[in-house]
Amino acid sequence: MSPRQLSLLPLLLAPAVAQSKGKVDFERQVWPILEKSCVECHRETHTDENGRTVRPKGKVMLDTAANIARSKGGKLFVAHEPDDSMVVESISLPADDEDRMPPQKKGPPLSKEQIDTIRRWIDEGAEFGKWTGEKAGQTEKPKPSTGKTGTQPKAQPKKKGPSPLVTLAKGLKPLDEKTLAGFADGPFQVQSVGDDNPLLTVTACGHTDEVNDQSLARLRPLQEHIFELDLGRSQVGDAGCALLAKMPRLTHLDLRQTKVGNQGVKEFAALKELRSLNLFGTEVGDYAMLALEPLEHLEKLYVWQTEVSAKAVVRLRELHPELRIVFSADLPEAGEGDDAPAPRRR
Amino acid sequence: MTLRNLTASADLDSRRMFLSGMARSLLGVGALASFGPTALARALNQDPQDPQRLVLGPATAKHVIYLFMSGGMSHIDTLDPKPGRPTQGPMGVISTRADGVQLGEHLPNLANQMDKCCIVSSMTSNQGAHAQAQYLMRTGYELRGTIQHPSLGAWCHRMLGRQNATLPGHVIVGGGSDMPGAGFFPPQFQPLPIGSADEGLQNASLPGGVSESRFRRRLELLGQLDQTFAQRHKQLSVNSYSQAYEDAVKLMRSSDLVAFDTDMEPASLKDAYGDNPFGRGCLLARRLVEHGVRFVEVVAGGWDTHNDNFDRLETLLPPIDQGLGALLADLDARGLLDETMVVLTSEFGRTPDIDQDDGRNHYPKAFSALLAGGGVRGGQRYGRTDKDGRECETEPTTIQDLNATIAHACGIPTDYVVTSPSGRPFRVADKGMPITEILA
Repeated sequence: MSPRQLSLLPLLLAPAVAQSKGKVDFERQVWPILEKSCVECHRETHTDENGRTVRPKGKVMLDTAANIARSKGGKLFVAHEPDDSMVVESISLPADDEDRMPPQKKGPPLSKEQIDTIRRWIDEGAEFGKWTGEKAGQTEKPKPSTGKTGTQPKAQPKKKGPSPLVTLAKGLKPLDEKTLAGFADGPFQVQSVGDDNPLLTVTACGHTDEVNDQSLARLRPLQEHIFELDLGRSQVGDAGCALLAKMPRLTHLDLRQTKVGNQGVKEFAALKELRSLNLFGTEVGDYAMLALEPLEHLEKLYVWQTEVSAKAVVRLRELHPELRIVFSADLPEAGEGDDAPAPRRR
Repeated sequence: MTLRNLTASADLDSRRMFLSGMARSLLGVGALASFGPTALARALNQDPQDPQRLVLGPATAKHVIYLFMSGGMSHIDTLDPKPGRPTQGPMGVISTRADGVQLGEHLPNLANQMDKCCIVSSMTSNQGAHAQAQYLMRTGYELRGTIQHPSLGAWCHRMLGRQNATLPGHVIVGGGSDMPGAGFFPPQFQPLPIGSADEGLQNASLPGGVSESRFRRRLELLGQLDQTFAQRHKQLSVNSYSQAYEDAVKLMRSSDLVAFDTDMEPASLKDAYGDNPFGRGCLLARRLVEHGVRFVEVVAGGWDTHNDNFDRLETLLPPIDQGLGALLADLDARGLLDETMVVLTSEFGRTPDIDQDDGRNHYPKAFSALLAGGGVRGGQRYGRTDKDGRECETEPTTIQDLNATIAHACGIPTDYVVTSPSGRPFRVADKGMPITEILA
């Protein structure tokens, strides 16, 4: 225990003596404190009202009994040992300490009584009683917009369902080490999409001259797992597209500056989960745009520096008003060079 | 890349982990596979339960282009104007493509891209001297005599690994020698400095009269000379230095060396970026991230406008506006802005009060930074200063919070601890908290 904490001891202990002897009831006495001051930032990864994924701050989750018990490897609340419990230290720090919880800019410090309640609850064994967690299905009420952060984004992203990272991973078994180990020698770089998700991100970056329609076949064992595939600037052409069309979980496909053309893109009608397709700098044309019409989930399509006509873009936009089609670059006019006239002096 | 999660092995506390992880990724074995933390850990003989193991989170950004306005950019004259107030001075204000977001009048091209950008107007720090403030901005830690902290670029390089094994993980254009680099990380995380974007990478070809076979013999000789020493002193630093040689040779032979050559771009595009060091630096940065470089910093100097602030900004701002406007438009049209975070920042702002020399002086208490791409939701302002630009009224944001936001977008866990050789714990952005509100 640090001297700083020791100096707090009298403050912490005094009310403890004054209070009633009854055992602290988690649901009635501790949970309201956590709910009011902690859970907004410290709850399981969830989707907020704007469809954004919010992860728990510092991987600390205080929303269910199981999460409270396992956060920080169980060191947050150590039964019968309030002084060894990390939570007690962080809520007891002075207001200007950057480790103090709740942080100064998020909310007021806990009162001495609240801190004492938590200490006593730990001291008495940190038992939850019948409480298991925040009630299932209970979502945070959307906060009324205060307008205090100035400008709101022009269009709030509309509420989306769960991320495809979650839905597409459902029921998918991770690939075995042996299959994946085969990729250690290139030319593809394979990685997980993050956290403990069986979906894969694959890129040809760094080996673009070795990745072609033949070497692409090496991805066959991964075809169920590929979520994101970057073949930009590689030697892949139309012949390789048949294999790409057999990747049911492919959501992001980058084929910028490849030899892929209309014949290849025709295959992509099968890619029902596709969200983003990059065809920048390829030879695709209006025929390819027709092939993309059935793709319901497509959100972004890049066709700058291709043969695609404005007419085809307009047509696809009419069919899919939500789809963002980028077919030109909003570049500035040529700027002044170094030899620009010197600015006027006052 | 190298692998998300495989880079767990980047933790140099264990020599075995170092050899199985970093060595593989950096010695050009090429692709590394990452298979979800558990399988990966087993493949690397690591304990999946080990709390020290690095597990990267989902990333919205794969690359960072970090534009540093060295000297202290006036926030009121650029990203946080105060029209109608005495602190505004003679500079006009323009509206942008984002409703309600205004900029200083010399940023018309940026205004045209504001739908992609988020301005953090409530940056605040207490470092008002250039060296200390720049160090803090780049590393997230205060300058100390006892340790050299790694820069954010070095953290990205180490935590995420290289995406292109033949190119450097981290490049600085227009600076580098006096800036924080690898810090206490091993030397292979040092950035590659490029003096001028126009000249690209110098000394990357064999000297005249040295043939490929002669070069190989020289390298073999070097290897033999070093062999005894390396065997006698089996230390990470020895290993790391010989790795630096191998990296250099790999770079010389890389088919991606063209990434450094901006002359390959069409003249019209070069003109759109601007024919000046900053514009060319932005164009080089785009080429480098396109070829898989993780982190590119472009430095633009001259912002220390203690006198003639307004005249000098008339010269300073157009190239920045041109280069940044072109960079955002070009990245977007190529589909690269989704995976590339562009950051414009400076070590501090400048005083709201204009002094007798028409100057503005150092002001760390309230200033602005700009973020775009890589998962940033554009068209918004985060945080607000008061009516004169003196104090942060809402959402005060520290430099560490800004760095944490960048790191978080790249999937780097901000609570992951790396221990320095002297045994002290450090995190990517110290204790900064990512601003998740502005990320998609």
